[in-house]
Formats: sequence, C-alpha cells, structure tokens
Amino acid sequence: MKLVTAPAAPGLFSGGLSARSRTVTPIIIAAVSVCVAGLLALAVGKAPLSPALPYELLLSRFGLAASAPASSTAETILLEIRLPRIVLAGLVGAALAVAGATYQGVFRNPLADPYLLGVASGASLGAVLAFVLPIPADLSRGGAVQVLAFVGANIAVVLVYLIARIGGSVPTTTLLLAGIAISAAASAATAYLMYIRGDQLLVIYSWLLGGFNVATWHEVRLITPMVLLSTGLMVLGGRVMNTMQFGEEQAAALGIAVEPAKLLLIGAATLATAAAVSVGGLIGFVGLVVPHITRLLIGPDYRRLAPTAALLGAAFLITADTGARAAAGPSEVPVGVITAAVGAPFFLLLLRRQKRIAFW
Amino acid sequence: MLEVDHVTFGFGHGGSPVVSGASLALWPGRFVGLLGPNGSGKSTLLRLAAGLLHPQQGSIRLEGRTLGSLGRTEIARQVAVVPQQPLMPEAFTGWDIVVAGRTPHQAILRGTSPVDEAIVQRALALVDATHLVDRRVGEISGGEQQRLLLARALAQEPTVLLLDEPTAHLDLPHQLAILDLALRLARESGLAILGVFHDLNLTAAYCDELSLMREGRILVHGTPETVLSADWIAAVYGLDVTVVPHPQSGRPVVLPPAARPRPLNDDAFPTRSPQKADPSLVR
Repeated sequence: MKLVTAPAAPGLFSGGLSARSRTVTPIIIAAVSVCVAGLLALAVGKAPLSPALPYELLLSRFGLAASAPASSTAETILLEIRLPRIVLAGLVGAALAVAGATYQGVFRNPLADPYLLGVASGASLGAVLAFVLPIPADLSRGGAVQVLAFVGANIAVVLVYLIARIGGSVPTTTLLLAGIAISAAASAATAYLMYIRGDQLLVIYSWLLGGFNVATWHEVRLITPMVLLSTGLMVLGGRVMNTMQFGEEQAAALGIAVEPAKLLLIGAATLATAAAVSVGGLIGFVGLVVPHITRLLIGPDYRRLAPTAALLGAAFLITADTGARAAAGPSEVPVGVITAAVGAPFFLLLLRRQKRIAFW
Repeated sequence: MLEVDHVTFGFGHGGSPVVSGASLALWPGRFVGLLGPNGSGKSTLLRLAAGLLHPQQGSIRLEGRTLGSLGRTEIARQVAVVPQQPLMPEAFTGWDIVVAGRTPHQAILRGTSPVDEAIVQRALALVDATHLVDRRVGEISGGEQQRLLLARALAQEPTVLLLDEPTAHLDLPHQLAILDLALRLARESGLAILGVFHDLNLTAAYCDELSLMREGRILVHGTPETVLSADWIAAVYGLDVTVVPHPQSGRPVVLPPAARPRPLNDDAFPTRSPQKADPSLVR
C-alpha cells in the first residue's frame, strides 16, 4: 500500500509540523551549556590564581591576545590539574546520564538507573578487593582499583544477563530481579571485606562516595573510547527505544529484532557505566534524575532524549564537581553529596511546575 | 498474499495447543473476519500470522516465503498489526505514536523525512485523528488511542493488515468508520485484511469471508451467509439464535435469544460445553 505517491515538497504542512521531529535546538543548547560549565569551572580551584587567568591563557593560546601572561606553574595547574578533571567529570556525567536514559527506555521503568543490573555492587566489590588484596609492587593501587572496579561491574551484569536468559529471550522482569539478587550477593561480600579490614574503611568509603580528586589525563584517555563508543550506540538506538515504549511485542511488529537490540543497548549502557564508575566511583543521582529532567524539558522522544541527556549530564556533573572543589574548608565535599543536594531540589521544582500528568 | 498453512501452536511444553491445524489465506483486496468465543485462539492465530509467535507445526508464508526466513524489518514493511491491548507510552503525542509506524522504512542514521511526515499526516487523516497530533496519549480516550494505533499501522504502508479487535473500545459510529475504512483500504489499495471481531453482525456486514474458530480449530470458513448459520453458531457458541437477512444488504443478521432471567448461580457464565458440531457440517 502507498499512502503518499509523490515525494512531498518540504513545507507542505503548515504550523511547523514538518520540523517537528527533526529539531536539534535542544541538543545545541545542551552542548553550549557543557561549554559554558567547562569554561566557568576552569576559573575555580584551591590554587590562588586570578579568576581571569584561564581565559587570558586561552586567548593567548589561540593568538587572540598579545602576550602569554601566565607563569608555567599556573599553566600546569590549569592544563594538568583543572582541565583533565573537568573533562573527566563531563565524560562521567554524560556516560551516567545516557546510560540511565537507556535503562529507563529498555525497561520502560522510570525508577531504572545505571546501577540497576549490578554495575554498582560489582564495581564496589572489585574496588574493595583492590584495596584489601596485596598488590604487586609494579602496579599502582589506584590503577588496580580502576581495573578491578571495571571488571567487577561487567562480570556482575554478564552474570545477571546469563541467569535471566530463558531460551532465546531475556524477559525484562527476570533481568531486573536477577540484578537485584546479584547486587545483594556482591554487596554482602563487599560489606564483609570492609568489616574485616577496618583499617581500610576510610579510603574505601571515600571511593564509594565517588569523586574526581585524583583525575589526570590518564583517566581521560582510559575511558574516552569506551564512553564515546557506548554513547554513540545508545544515541543511534533512540528510534529502537521509541518503539520499545509500546512493549517488546509491538516493537517486533514495527520491525525491531528485539533481543539483539536489547542486548546491544544494555551492553552499551553497562560499558558506559562501568567506565564511569571505574574512574569516578559511585556517583549517585546523575543517572537517575538527569534523564527525567531532560524528559521534562524536551519530551520523551529517545532520538533527542539520549544525546540531550548525555550533554546535560556532562554539564551537570562538571558544575557539581566545581561546587565540590569550591567548597569552603581544607578538604573537598564529595561530589555525590553535591549532585543530590543541588539536583534534588531542582528536580522537585521542575516536577511541581510540570502541568501535564503524563511526562513519563 | 499471506498463507497460514496447517499451523499448530501451544504456549509452554506439553500443554494443549492454543491453535491446531489452522489454515487461512489472505488475498489482496479481501477482508477476512475471524470469529469465535473468548479463548478460541483467534488472537494467537493473528500473532502467528504476524510472525510474532512461531508455529510448532505448519508454516506461514508471505508472498511464498516463510516468515521464519524473513527479517523483522522485511516483515514489518509488509505486515502491520493493530494490537488488542497495547502498552501505550503516555507521554507520547499522537504524532509520536503514528511516526513509529515509519520505523521499518527508515535507515538507522536517517531522520524523519518530508515523505515520512506526509505519510503520517495522511494516515492520521484516514482515521479522523488529525486533531490528536499534539495530544498526549495519557490524556485521550481509549477509542482515540485505538484510532492512533490503526494510523500507525497504515503509516507502515503494509500489504497485509492484521486487526485484533480494532473496534473494541469504539462507539457505533466510529466502529462503522473503522470498518468502512478497512473495506475501502481493501478495495482501493488492495490490502489483504484479517480482523478479529466479536460483533457477528458488523463482521457479517463488512467482511468478504469469515472464519469461525473453536478450541484452536477453524471449524468453518466461507461467505458470511455460509458461516453465520444458526447451526454453526449453536455449534460454536452454544446459543440458540435466529438468523435473518439484513433488510437492505441481505447479509445475515444474528438475533440473540430473547432474555431469560434466571436466579444467580454458578451457571451464570457460559461454560465451554457447546453442542457437539454436526460432523456432516464440518468441511
């Protein structure tokens, strides 16, 4: 059957209908907000630098200002301490937010977050093992924590997926429940290790809270390929997630090979989350609420929701981490505390202002 | 053309089949109605025909090729389904719902083209739902949702349309509008249509052929006049009905038995023990 025989001329329908589903304005605004957050964050830190210095440095780098005013110490602080930390916070925020949106889309569940299928508890167990096990002298403790957290996160989710598989399909309810069970088991092991190694309690706990206080370009290089690859997959999967909102059988009737698509999307979300957790620890709230904030702002179309959530997640976590660095006192506030303390009221405000009953 | 060839299917292992040995052919331009009591396997047969369930015996062929050998996208370009009790994403607008019907025609990297948009507009207009474009699904009636789902199916530009009780939540004028549309799509666009229905009279008035199912089997298939005889209805539904010709069209009209008030007891709902079919009637 052909509903329309000749190709329609653009602009055939009035009222802006033809631009309806193609507008990229929110994505552009979100991208600009990431840049603004990043630039503002450059001026904040414990080192006593003039707030204007980063921008003078930037301008001179691009040949727009006459001379380079900065000392080499200041330049090192900006380029080797502040900048990698900002980039890392952005990558982690983007990964967590887009993974959260994807889990919510695949499971059709507004309570889903990136830690749903055991990523968090698997990563915690891996990290705690790295803290309590003897580490060979030629390995750094921090590197071991990153690697074991990443491996633990992936093992947990693969286990959950294999357990939940019945025949050729993986029912989402079984997947969710298997995730909860595996999480409980891994958490038990983590709690036991923390209990018997009380001497390590403080470092373990501060890792669990999450943060970027040791961020370098090394961490950025480690996770950038994984975050870009998985985020790309999830953004491409926007249309698939749209059809999944009708239920899996309807998605199949609309031409989606549901099980491979689900495996690919869950795999991408897990890879992104594992990469984020391995360098940032368990930062809460971003992956659950940034997708919802995005949904409240631009609607439920996953083709726009996925990229916009990624960008807003980056902007949000860069800003929260700047708050953590700027906090008064000799030590930083854990970034997870900031994300929840600032994000929760903002989210509640948006939720109250929402006039529609159905935003999910 | 879609052929269902001696298909048997059961959920789980060892249970009795929900559909057994059912055969059906859907030709371009023909509107086929599938009738039968609750639980007789109508919806399951429809899902089998859509390739959403896989037959344990027998085969289903689309233009001569078995559904199992076709990819999901290939099937969805030709076969569209209007589900009976769909999950509806409440935050989606009417536009979002119908544009999902373009999914099998869109490459993964390509957005919605002007052609796609023209098709969505046309599909919305066909089901009289243009005013629902910007309404959220959570804020419209069940009948309006059903029309959006039909529009979504039409946006797939299928050759085979499978309707699972498409008139269930609609008032009489909208039921007639949907059936009129189905008939027009069959006649003018050459769609092959299979619809599951409960209203015997509307089905008789619109369909070219009817199939009557009981306990997973198609007992009889033929013109409305053949299938909707008092004998067949007694055999399948266990009801003693009167069948008269429609004064205008001559199609059969089934009149249920007169009301017979009884004291409430455990027999208030029909049991699955209709009269045994007269074996001489079974083709």
